[in-house]
Amino acid sequence: MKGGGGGGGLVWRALLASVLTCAALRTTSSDPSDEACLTHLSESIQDPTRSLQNWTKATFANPCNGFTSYLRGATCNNGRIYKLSLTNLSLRGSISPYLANCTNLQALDLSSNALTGPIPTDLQYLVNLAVLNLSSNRLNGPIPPQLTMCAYLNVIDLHDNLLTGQIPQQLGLLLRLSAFDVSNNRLSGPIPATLTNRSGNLPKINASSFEGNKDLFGSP
Amino acid sequence: MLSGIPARNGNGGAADLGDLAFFLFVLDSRIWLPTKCLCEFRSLFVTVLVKIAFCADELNFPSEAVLGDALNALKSNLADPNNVLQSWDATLVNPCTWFHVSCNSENSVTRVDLGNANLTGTLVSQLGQLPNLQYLELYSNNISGKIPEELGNLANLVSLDLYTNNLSGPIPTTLGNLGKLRFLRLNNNSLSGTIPMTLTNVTSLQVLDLSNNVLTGDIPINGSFTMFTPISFSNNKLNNPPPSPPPPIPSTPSPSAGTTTGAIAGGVAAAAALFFAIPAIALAMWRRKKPQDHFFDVPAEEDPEVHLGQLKRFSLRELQVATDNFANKNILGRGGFGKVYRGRLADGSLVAVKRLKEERTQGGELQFQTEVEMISMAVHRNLLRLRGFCMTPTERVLVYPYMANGSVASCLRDRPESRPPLDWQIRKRISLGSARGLAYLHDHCDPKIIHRDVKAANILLDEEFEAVVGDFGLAKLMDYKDTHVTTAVRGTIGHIAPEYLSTGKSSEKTDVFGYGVMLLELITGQRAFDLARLANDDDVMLLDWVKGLLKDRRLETLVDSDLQGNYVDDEVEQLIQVALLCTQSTASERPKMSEVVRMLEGDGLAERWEEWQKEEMFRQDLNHTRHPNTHWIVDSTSHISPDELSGPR
Repeated sequence: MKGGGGGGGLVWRALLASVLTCAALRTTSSDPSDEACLTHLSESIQDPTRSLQNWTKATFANPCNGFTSYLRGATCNNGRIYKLSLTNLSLRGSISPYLANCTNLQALDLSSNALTGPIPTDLQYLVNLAVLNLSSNRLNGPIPPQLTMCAYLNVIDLHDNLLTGQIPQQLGLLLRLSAFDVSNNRLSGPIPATLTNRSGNLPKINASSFEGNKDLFGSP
Repeated sequence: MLSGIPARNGNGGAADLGDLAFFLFVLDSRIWLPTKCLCEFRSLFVTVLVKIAFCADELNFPSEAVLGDALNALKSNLADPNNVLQSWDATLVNPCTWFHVSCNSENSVTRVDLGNANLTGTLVSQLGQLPNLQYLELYSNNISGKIPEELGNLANLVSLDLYTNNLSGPIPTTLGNLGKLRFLRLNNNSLSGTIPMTLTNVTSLQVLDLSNNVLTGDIPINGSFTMFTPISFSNNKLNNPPPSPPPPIPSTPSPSAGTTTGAIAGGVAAAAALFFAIPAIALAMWRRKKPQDHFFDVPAEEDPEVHLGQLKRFSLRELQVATDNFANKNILGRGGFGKVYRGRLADGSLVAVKRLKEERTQGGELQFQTEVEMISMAVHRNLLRLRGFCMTPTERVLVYPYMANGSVASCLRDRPESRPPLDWQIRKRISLGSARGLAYLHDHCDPKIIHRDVKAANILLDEEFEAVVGDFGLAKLMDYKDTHVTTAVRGTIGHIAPEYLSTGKSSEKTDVFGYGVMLLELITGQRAFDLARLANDDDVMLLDWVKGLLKDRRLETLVDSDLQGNYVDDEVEQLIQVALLCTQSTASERPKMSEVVRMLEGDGLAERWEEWQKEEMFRQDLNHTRHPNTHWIVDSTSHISPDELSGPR
């Protein structure tokens, strides 16, 4: 069979090569900002349980193909990362400010890990962010008032962390905010009336969202 | 009499109807029903049906006709230069066997997948008559005209993808009635008018893209629209910026805000002003610099499995849990590509987990992904759908739905006593179903997929005993590691076409050969290569054995004894004819799979058979002395190590 297969094998290989070329053309090109975002994020977090097995440079360069995501925890739309959900994976380390490069991010959920450090103020550049859930980590430092720049935020969930400082009253300006939870932190100062006593028909934030912060005082 | 086997997908009612219809055919098997008459026959049949009080099914059956009519109306309104609608045969009992159409178990259309099909023409209002339609995928065509208002009647619609067409006119307000809609992508058309406020009532809406149209007016901000950002609406003539919310941070806090909260935050305000002014300016500059790309807008919580072609990527851990750490007790079969395990996913569903054999080179990840995606694009009722995959540096795993009734081979030969043998009707349905599946791989996949190992063990049976072709696309997938060395012949002795064995070159016709042998397995219940028969001094190869028996007209010796004589002689003979046409040693003389489908449906077999017989007679005179057919197979297979031949799944 081998003797007679020479010519045929050549044709076969050429055929296969052409199929490969066609196949390669089908993959969409990646987005450089998404790549930077993912690369930096993977550098800033540690993954002791090796949950993020395919979080490798090769995948960062091509995390999405249209609607298909190749990256654990990521969801893609039209070739861009639009959702990152890395919850309950025992992740350590901190949240990279370069996350802001994932400019199409609609939802960021890093809840139930052991992340430390501050909430990067650069998250303000995620102008399409609708859901931010960083709850149940060990994040410290203040709640960045700049989050108000993310005008489409519907959900801010920061409960069960070690956040300090005051709740930025500007957050009350987020007209789409329907869920806000900062319970069980180390926050202090007044509970902004802009959140609890919102004007018009904006959804009110319940008192339970502020519980477990012994130095908080005020209205709810 | 193989024509007019009503396609049957449903449990209960529809299935019974199929049998009854077939029963009627058989009763009058001398009347050849041309397929063109099937429509009339169908309505006649419905009348008869009601009369004999088959009441449980009357709801089902007429609606199938309506479904077909709705899709036929669409077909007739579209120009189809690529012939993707070729299989949309108006004479079939229901549209469920058409390519690019999927049905639920009640034979009601649930999906129409015609994205990227180069279609032109307009949509039709009849599309609103598909009550169970969940996915209407017509994106990336050149469809023009308006979006029919009647689409608002599709109460079960989950996804409406009409993006990248030439649609004009308004977005129908009726779309606000689509209470289950999650994906609405109308971007890249010429839609005009305002965005209907009714859409904000669709609380299930997760993905909205209306960008790149000529929409005017205000962008709704309430209801479901609260989650959608400007990328959903970019490049229109909409009022800009979006009315009222969301206010970017005031660069200086307004005096009124200062007075109301002054007591608390007075001192902070001034600092905050500075604090915010800088990022605000920075943001403004940054946004200006950044070209306004066109992106899809997607809020949280999308079901990752809902979109066509979207594969779930499983983690190894998930699959380890599902298969009890790939426990031996869960092995369903071993094949040339690796072991297959039964598994149960976290959601409770049963799956077949195929752990591909190792021995691959580094860096093939992207190729694997591309291939896997290509396989996943082959969506047809008679093809085993790929549910997902898993890829780690050391593992490549494919996840398929679990097929309740195993493979045709196991049903024929490893059947537990408790289970009845496959009856003749089912065998006929298997022959047609698997032919349709293969025809789809050959004619409707781009690039086309050659199976390279068609055999009874690779034809699976779902809970309705519908044939489901499995293992396709894998031959190529596994070749990536050795594209630089001679490609090993994959296949199974007795099924391998002569030209594939001798040249290593496979084509659709290689599959046709394998299919022909599979038909013989189906008829005889025998293994393709059965050494047991060698002892009986029969021909080693099934094919030659069959030819011998057919020549002597000893049908009863040939047909599987499990059938206990319950078959129709004419039908058996026709199926054998098809099998022999498919297994001709010259590849070019074998029919295409699509021709096989037509022959099985009763179109053209007689002519082709007559022609073949003439040629065969001529050939026999010519080749009387040498008998190439028997020794090439035995000789050439003996060179191949058993490893290269895939065994049962």
